[in-house]
Order: sequence, then C-alpha cells, then structure tokens
Amino acid sequence: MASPSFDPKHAVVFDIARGATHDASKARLLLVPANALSELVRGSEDQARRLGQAIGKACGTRVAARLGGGDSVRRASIEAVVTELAGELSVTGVGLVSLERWGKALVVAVENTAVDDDVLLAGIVDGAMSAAVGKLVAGVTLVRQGSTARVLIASEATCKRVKELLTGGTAWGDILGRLSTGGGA
Amino acid sequence: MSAARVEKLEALLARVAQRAALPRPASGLLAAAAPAAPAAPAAHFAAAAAAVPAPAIAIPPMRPLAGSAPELTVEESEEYMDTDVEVSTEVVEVDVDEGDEAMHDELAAAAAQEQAGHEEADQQAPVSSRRPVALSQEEEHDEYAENPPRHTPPPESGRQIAASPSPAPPLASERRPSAPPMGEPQVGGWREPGLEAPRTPSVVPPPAHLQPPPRTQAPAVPSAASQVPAVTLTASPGQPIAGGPPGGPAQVMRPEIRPNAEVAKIEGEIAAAEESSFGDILDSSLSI
Repeated sequence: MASPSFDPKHAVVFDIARGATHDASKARLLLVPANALSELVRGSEDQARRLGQAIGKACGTRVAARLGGGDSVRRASIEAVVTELAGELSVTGVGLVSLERWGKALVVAVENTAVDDDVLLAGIVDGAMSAAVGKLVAGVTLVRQGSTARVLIASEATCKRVKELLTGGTAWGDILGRLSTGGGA
Repeated sequence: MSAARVEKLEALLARVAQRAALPRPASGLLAAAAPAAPAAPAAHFAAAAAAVPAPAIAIPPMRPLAGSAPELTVEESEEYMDTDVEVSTEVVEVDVDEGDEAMHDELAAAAAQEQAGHEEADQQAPVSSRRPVALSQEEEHDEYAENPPRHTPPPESGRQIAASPSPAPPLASERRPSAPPMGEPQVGGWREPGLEAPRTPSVVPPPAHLQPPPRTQAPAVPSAASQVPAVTLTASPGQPIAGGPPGGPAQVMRPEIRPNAEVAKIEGEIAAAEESSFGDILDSSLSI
C-alpha cells in the first residue's frame, strides 16, 4: 500500500488579472495578516472560536472532498486523514499539523503556528475536523511550548472541564493522565 | 728453630747438667738447691738461673760465656706450649768450667747462630704494620716504576704542575653492581644508577604467599544450556594495527554470539489497538 501524500497542485489560485485569490473549489480567499486576526479576536472568545471554526471548516471541507466525503474520511486510515488535513492547514498557513494519541485522547499538535490566540487556534482545528468527518467535535488548546501548540479533540463537555482545569492551574500532563485512565477530567 | 739445633742444645744442656751434678766445693754465689738436673726432654728441666726471676719461661738468647754462669736459652714453640712445662723457682747450681775451650767454642757458635735467627725474626713486620719494614731491590724498583716521584717545579719557574695521570675508570660492563640497599624488597630487582639495563630481564618470582593458587578445573555442571553455549570465545589473528608493535598482529579473542540465542523471554503482549480508522480514533477521543 502506497503511503498517502498530499497533492498541493492548484490548491491556491491567484487570479491577478481579476484581483482574486481562490482555492481549488473556486472559493474566494482573502490573504489576511496573522496579527490582524489576533487583534480582531482579542478579548472575545466567542468571536475567536467562530472565526477559527470558519477557517477550519474550509480546510476540512476540502479534505472531505479529496477523500470522498465524511464517511470515507471516517473509514480512511489515520495516516491518510492526517496527510490531507496537514496539507490543507499548511497551505492555509496555520502551521504543520500532526496527530498524537495520549491513551484515548486525540491531540493535534501544530508546529510553527502563525496563530497566537489559543481559542482561535482551537477553533481552526476542531472546525477542520468537524467538516472533514461531518460530525461536531470540540477542541481546547492544552499547552504552548515554544512555537508548538497542542489541541485536545474531545466532546464539548470534556473540553469545557479541561478548560476549567487549565484555568485552575492543573498541568496539561496531569489532565491527559486523568483522561487516559478514564477518570475524566 | 730446627730440630737439629734443638737436639744440639739439649745435648749441651745435658752436659751442663751433668757437670753441675758433680761434687764441688760450695761457692758463695751458687747454692746447691737442685740435686740433679732432669734429663731430656728439655721441657722438664728445671731451668733457672740465680738471677732469673720466676717463672723462668722466657730466657734471653744464649750469648757467649764470658766468665759468668752460662745462660740457658729456651725457645718458645708450639710443641713446647702444648706440653706441660714445670716451672720451678729453685736455683740450679751450674758449674761452668771456664777452661773448657771446646765447650766454649761450641756454645759461642750456637749462640751466634741463635743470634742470627733472632735478628732475622726481628726484621719481620709486625701484624699491625701496613707496609713492609724493608723492601728488596726488586720491590723498590717496581715501586719506583709504578709511582715515580713527582718533582714540583719551583713557583718562580712559572711552570704549571703537571697533573698525574689518573687511572682510567673501569668500563660500565666491568663494574659490578652494588648490592641493593638493606631492607628493600627483592621484587623487581635492583639496578645501580648509571648502569645499563640488563639485556635479559631477570624474573624474580613473588613470595610464596603472594603466588596465585594453582588452577584447578571447576567441576562440570551438566545442563542443556552448557551443551550449546550462547557465547563462545574464539581466538583468531587480528588485523595489524598501524603504528602498532612489530611482530605481526596480536591474537584477538572475540566472542562468538549466536544470533538465535534465546536470551530474553517476553511474557504477555500489549493489546493491539482495535481502532484502525480515523473515525474510530475520533470516536474514542469523543467518548472521554
């Protein structure tokens, strides 16, 4: 079986004559400075989350389109999904994505990310994941270590408890430990 | 003193004693204290003179009689020292006939001969003397040849004093190493500083209490593992090392490890992940 690979051919089309930028599905794109987005969502988690989910949804939709729909994505191997998802987010300029499993918990690690806001980043990730599989998932940023951020993919309730624990000062490692042992966060 | 001389003196002494034993009118100087002199051997004679203090063992050498009482000479020798000597303080009356020319001449000859022997003995060097008393002409010549006299020029001559040739130092090979210092252990040997190292190293065995015990073969333990060892040592000539010692490569001992040896045994196994698709993994994470 050949390893899956991402084909970035014509992922972004710059129509200079018409002053337009669009993706492979002919959807219009707008190149926005990263810090402008950070300034936009600063102080409003809801706006950040909604903006992030919008960005991620576009990426996840393209992944699903490449892999043949939501059901196909669910049946696909994890390597194939990671490859397509990382390719789309890389072209968008979010960062380099990889998947980690800590017990049952699924963690998306984003290296060299251009997004400073944690809520915005978590919205981009869970939005892309939801659009790819066709199922609503939630995400919460666990930690930032240098230019690498880790986002937990879980249910909406779990992400809410994890966020409370992080605010209370619990280390992200302990939280993942509790989730792995089935004790809940 | 030769045996002939001893016999001669003994005969003379016997004659003197015989004459002394003859009855003579009492003299004012000599008192007849001894009735008769003992016969030979001379060690048993009662040798004494009126003027000789007791004990009269050492008597001066015999000299020619000059109208006085004849003097007796006793030579000390190991033979006499071994025998018991009776020393008597009794005065022996000795009558000497001055008119006996024959006996006088005989005594004179014997005394002269005895005197010559004593002079010869006096010339012998004492034990404590370092040098001989006198050197012969040949010895003097040799001594002069070996150590010629040094003539030091006068200071006003301006000439330097020639240094005497000193004997050449012995070669290192001729020198004998000195003994090691007292108290030093013999292990490792001793070499005097300045001498060359010995060509062939001398091996000094360690003391008996430091020697390893003799090797004994361990009893073989029959087991299945010992029949087919997992690791065996094999000797093989190694590759020559650049810059290594001459003489070819050293013998290298390498372990021969069987790759199929069952070294570790793993019990149990990790449960394989049942989720094979991305959807299952996502659902597992959502179920938390």
